[in-house]
Amino acid sequence: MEPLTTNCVALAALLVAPVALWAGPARLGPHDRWLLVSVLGSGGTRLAASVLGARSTNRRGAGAGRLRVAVRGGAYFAASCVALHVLTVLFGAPVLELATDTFLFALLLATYTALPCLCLRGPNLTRWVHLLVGSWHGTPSERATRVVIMGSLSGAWLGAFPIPLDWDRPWQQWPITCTVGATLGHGLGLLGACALLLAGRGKPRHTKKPI
Amino acid sequence: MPIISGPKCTWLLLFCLCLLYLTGIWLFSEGFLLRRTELPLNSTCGDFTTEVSEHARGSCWLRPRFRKVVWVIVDALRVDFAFEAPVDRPARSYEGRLGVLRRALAEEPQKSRLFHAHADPPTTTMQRLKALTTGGLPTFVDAGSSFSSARIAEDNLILQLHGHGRKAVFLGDDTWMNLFPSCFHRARPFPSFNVRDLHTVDNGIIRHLYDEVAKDDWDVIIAHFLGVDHVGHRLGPLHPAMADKLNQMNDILGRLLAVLPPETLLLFMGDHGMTETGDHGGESESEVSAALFVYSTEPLFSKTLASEPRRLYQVDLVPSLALLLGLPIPYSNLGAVIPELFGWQDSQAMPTKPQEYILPLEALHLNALQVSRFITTYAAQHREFSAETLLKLNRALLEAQALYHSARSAMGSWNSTHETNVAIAAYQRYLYDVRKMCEAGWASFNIPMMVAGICTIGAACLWSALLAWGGHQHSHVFYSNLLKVFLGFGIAGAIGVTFLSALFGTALHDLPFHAAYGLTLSSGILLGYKAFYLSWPFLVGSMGRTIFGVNGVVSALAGPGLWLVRCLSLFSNSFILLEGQLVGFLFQSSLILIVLDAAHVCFHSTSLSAPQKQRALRVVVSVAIAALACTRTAAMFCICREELPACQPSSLLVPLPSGSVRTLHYGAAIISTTVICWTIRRFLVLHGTFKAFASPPILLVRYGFPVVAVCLGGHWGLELMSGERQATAMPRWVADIFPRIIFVLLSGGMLLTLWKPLALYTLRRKDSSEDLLTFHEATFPASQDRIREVVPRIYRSLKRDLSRSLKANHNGVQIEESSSETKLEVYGLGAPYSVVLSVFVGILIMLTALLHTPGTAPAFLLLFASMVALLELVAALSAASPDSSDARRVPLLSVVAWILASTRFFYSTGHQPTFPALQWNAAFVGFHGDHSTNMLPGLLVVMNTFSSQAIFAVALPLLLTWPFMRGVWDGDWLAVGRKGQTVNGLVNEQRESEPKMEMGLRDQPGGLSVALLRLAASFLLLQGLQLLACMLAAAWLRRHLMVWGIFAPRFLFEATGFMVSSFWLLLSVALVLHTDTRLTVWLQHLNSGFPR
Repeated sequence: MEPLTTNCVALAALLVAPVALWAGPARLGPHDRWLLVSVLGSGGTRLAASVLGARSTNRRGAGAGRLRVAVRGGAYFAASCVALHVLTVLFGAPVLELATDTFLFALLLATYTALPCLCLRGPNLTRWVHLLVGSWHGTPSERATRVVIMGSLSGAWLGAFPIPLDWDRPWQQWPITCTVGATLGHGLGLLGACALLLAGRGKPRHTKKPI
Repeated sequence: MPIISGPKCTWLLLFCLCLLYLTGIWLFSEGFLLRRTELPLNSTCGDFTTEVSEHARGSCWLRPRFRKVVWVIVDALRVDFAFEAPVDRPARSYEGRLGVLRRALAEEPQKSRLFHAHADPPTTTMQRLKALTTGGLPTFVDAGSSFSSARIAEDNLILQLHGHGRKAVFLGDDTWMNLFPSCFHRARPFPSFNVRDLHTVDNGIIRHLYDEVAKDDWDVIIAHFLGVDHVGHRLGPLHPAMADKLNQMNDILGRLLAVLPPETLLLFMGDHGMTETGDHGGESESEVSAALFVYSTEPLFSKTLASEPRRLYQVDLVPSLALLLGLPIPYSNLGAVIPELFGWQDSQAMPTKPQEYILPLEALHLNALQVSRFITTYAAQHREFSAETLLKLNRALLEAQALYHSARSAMGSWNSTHETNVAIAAYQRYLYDVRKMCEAGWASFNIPMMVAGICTIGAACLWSALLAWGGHQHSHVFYSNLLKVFLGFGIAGAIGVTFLSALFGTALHDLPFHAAYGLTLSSGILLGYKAFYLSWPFLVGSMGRTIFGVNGVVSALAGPGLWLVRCLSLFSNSFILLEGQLVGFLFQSSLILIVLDAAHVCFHSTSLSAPQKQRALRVVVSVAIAALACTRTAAMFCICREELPACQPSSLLVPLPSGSVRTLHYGAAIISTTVICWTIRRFLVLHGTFKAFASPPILLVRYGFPVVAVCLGGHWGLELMSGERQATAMPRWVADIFPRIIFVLLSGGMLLTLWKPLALYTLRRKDSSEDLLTFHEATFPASQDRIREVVPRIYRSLKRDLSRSLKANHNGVQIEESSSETKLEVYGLGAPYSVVLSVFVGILIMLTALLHTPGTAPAFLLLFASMVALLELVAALSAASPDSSDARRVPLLSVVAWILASTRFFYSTGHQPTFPALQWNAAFVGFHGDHSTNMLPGLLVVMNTFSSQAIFAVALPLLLTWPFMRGVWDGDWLAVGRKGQTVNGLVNEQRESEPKMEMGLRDQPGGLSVALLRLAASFLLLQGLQLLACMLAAAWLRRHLMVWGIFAPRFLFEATGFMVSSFWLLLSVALVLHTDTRLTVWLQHLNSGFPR
C-alpha cells in the first residue's frame, strides 16, 4: 500500500471508531470499547499496510526470516507498551489504582507512536531514535511518520490539562482526556502527513535506503 | 567619571534590579492587602458605669430589653429577595417568595421592620461572620495573636455571651465552630464546604431548630442556613431552584414566628448579597446589599411604615444586640446602635414615657464612648490615621456629649423630644465619621497603587530581558554604561518626582510612593528610548541565532512556551490547588525536551562515532529517567489543602508518629543526611580540592559536616521522642543544644567561606617533565595573557598528579625528586566555582533540613538528586553542542526547568501556599519559646517555608559552571558516564585541545561576570514573570469568590519566595565573583613568584 493510502485509511478508522461508544459488549465501558476499536483500527491498518508492502516488494526473504522479524516486532511493541506505561506513571499517573486504564492508555499511545516506527523502520531501537530526533530532511514517508508521532504525543500531553479543573464532569477522569487528546493529535498528525505526502508527490523521490 | 566595571558592575546591576522588583512588590501589596491590627482588649461590665442615667442602668451597661434572641442567618440573602414581586413584569425566581415577611410587615408594623443592610467588602462568609460578631471592619491581614488558626481572638458578641454565662445554641455552617471553638452551650454544625450540596445544612438545621426553640435552656439561638448561597453559586439566583429554596426559608420563618417565646427578638438576615451570577466576595452593590428583618414579640416600632427599608450598616447590629441583651459592646466595634430597636420613633411621634424615649440616646452615648475609646487606643499604637482627623473627631464627640447632657437635663420638658433627636443625630454623625475614617484606612483597595506595582514589576521584567539578551557577548562596557544610565535616571527620576510632589503639597507620608513611581516612570521612559536603541541590534541578532541555529525551532520555543503555560496556570484556582502536580508535570516535560534536544544535537554531530553516539544517548536517557523517578517520588511527599477533601497527606510528613513509623522516619532521615554529606565530600575529593586542608570550605566539609550530621541525628531523635514521658522530664537546654551547635557551625562556616572561598593546594616539586610550569617561566611579567597561558600548564600538571594519585588509591602524592628544577602543582583549579557553590548548597540543605521534621529529610535527598541530575542533563546538552563559543549562554529551557524544580520541591518539602500550612514549629528549633522579638522566629519560619527556593537560588550559578566542569563531549565525557567516575581531567594525551574545565570561563576578561549577569537576569526575568502573573491574577480576580482563600495567599507566598530567592541569588553571585577575584589575585601572585 502507498503511505498516502495507509494514512487515509488510518484516519478513516479513527473517524469510524466512535461508533463503539453506542454499540458493543456492555461489559466494557463505552470508553474502553472506543479505545480498543481505535487501537484495532489504527494498528490493523498499519500492520496490513506493512505486510502488503513487504509482500509486494518481497525483500524480506524466506518465511523463517519474516517470522523472526514478526516475533521481534511483537516483543518491541510489548516493550514499548510497558515503557510508555512506566513513563505515564512517572509523569504523574496513579501507580496502583486505575492501572488497567493506564495500561490501555499506554497501549493506545504505543499503537499511535511505536507501531508506525516499527512498520517503517523494523525492530531496531537506534533507527527509531533516528526517526524521532533526526533532522527535518528525509524521505516523505519518514517526515509523515514523524508528524504523526509528534502529533499523538503532544495531543496526549495537552490532554492532561483539563483533568485538574473543577468542572466536575465525568469525562475529566484519568485517562479519558488523554486518550481523546492523543487520538485528536493523531488524527491531526495523519491529516498533516497526508498533506505532506500529497505535497511531496510532485517532487522526484529520494532514493530509498535499504532498511 | 570612573567606569564601574567587572564584578562590581555585575553585582550592582543585579542588586538594582532586585530593588526594582522589591519596590514593585511593596507598591502592589500596599494597595492590595487590606491591613488592620487586632487589639487584644475586652470590654467589661465595669466600663462606663457612671456615664448613664440611673433608670437606664442595668447590671451591665444598659438594662436588657429582651430575654432571648433567635438569630437566623440566611447566607447570601440579598435585600431584594425580601421585596414584593413587581406587577408590571413577570417575577424573577427570587422575587416575592418571602410572603410571611411581607405579611408581618404589613399586619404587625409595630413588631417588625425590614432594613437594607450594607455588608462591608470583602463579602465572603468568614469575613462577614467576623464583622457580625466583633463589629469591626475585617481586612485580609488581621495581624493578631493567633495568625495560624481561624479562631477569632478579638472581643466579640459570642465571647461576651459566653463570658457572662449566657447560653448560646448554634445550628448550621461549621465555619462558626472554627471561629468560636467551645463557646457554645450546644452546637450542631454541618459541613459547609461542598457548594454542590444544596440541602444538607438546611435540612439538618430544620430537623433540630424547633425543638431547640421549644426548650428553655438558651438565651441565644444562632441558625446559619447555607442553601440560598449554594443555589446561587451552583445555579444562579434566576434558577427555579432559588424559588424553591426561598419558599423553604419562608416556611421556616412562618413556623418560627408562630413558636417564638415571649420577650424574644428574631433576626432574619443575610450576611451578604450575591451578583446576578450568584457569586460574592467583591464590593458591587448587589453583593453588599443584604436583608435584615427584625421581629419582636413585643411592640417596639412606630406604626407608620416607610415604603423603602432604611439603609444601615450591617455591623450596626453588634452594639444594638449587645445592649439589648444587657452585655458590654465588644471593644473593637465600629457599628452604631440602631435607635429603632430602642424605641426611637420619628420626630413627630409624641413620647409616651420620658424614660423610654431617652433610652436610644443613652445607648448611642455608650456606643460613642466605646468607639472613641477604641479609636484612641488604636491610634496610640498605630499610625494609620492622621492626627488632624482624630482631633476633629474628638471635637465632634465633645459637642455631641454636650448635647446629650442638655437633653438629659431637659428630660420631661416641652422640647425634650427635639433635644434628644438633635443629640442622637450628633452621635450618629460622629459614629459615621469614625467609620469613614477607618474604612479609608483599612478596607479599600488602592487601585492606583496596585497599578503602580504592576507597572514597576513589568518594567523590571523588561530590564531583566534587556540584561539577559541585550548587549554583545564581550561587551561589559555596555553593561557598565547601562548601570550608569540606570542609576542616573532612576535616582534623578525618583528625586524629581519627589520634589514635584512636595512642591504641589502632597502629604509627606506618600513620599516613598511618589519616589517609587518616579523610579518606574523614568526607567520606563529610558527603556523606550535609550536602552532599546542601544541593544536592539544585539537583541535581534541573538534571537536570530537562537531560532535558526542548530538547536532548532522546538528548543527555542520550548522554554518560553512552557513558561507561558506556567504563568497562565496561575490565573486558575483549580491549577493553583494542584500546583504541585502541575509544576512537576511541566518540569518533567522540560526534562524530556532537554533530552530530545541533546539527542538531536548528538545525532547530528560529526565528531562522534556511531557507538559513541549510542553510549552518549544511553547516558543521557538514564540520567533523565533518574531525574523523572526522583520527581515522581517527590510528588508523593505532599500535605493537603483544606479545599481538596479527597487528598491524602504523605505519611512521612505527619508530625508526631509513633511505633515503627517513627523508626522508619528516623532511619530515612539519617540515611538521607549521610548520603548528602558523603556525596559532597566525594565530589570534592574527586576534584582534588580535598588536599587544600587549610581552606575554610574544605575544613567545613571535612570536620564540620560530620559533626552537623551527628547533631542533626540527635536533634531529630529528641524531636521524635518529644511526645514521650521521659522527654518532658528532660531539662530544656538538652533539646536546644544540638540545633544551636548546628547554627553556630554552619553560619560560621558560611561566613568563613564567603571570606576565603578559594580552595587550592599548591605543591612545589622537582620534576623533569617539560610541560610543567617552571620557575623560570613563572617569573614573566604578570600580564593577562601570561596568566591565560599559565593556567593550562598548571592544569596539565594537576591532571597528571590526579591520575597518579588515583592509581595510588588516594594515598597521597608521590613526590619525585629526580629533577633539579622546582615545579609547581596545583590542586582544585579545575572547579573552583563549583566546589564552593556545592559547599554552600550543602550548608543550606543542612540548615533547612534542621528546621523541618525528620520525615522531610528524604525529600531533601530527592531535591539534591534531582538537582544533580538536572545539572548533568544541562551539561550533556552543552557538551553535545558543537559550537563551543555559545557555552557561556545557558539555554532558557534549563533555567525554566530549574525554577520549575524549585517550585516542585517547595511542595515536596511539606508546604502549601496557605497560612494554615505554615510550619510554626520551625520558630522554636533551638529556642524554646523564649523569643523576645518577632524577628528571629519570623526568619526561621521564612527559611523553613522557602527552603527549596533558597537552595535552588544559591545553586543557580552551577548551571553556568557545571557544563564547563564536565567538559566537552568527547571520549572523557562518555568514559565518565560509563565508569561512573567523576574525574574529569583524564584526557588522552594525543588530543590537541586541552580541556580547561572551569578555567575556560576565564578565557575572556570579564567573561565570567557577563555570563553570570545574563544567567541571573534570565532567572530573575522568569521569576518576575511568574510574580507578575500572580499579581495580575490577584488584581484582576479581586472580586472572585476565592480571592482571599487562594489568589491573595498565592501572591503573598510568591512575593516572599521571590524576595528569599533574590537574596540568596545575590549572595551566591557575590560568592562566585569573589572567588573569581581571589583567583585572579592568586594567579598574579603566582606569576610574580611562588606563593610561600
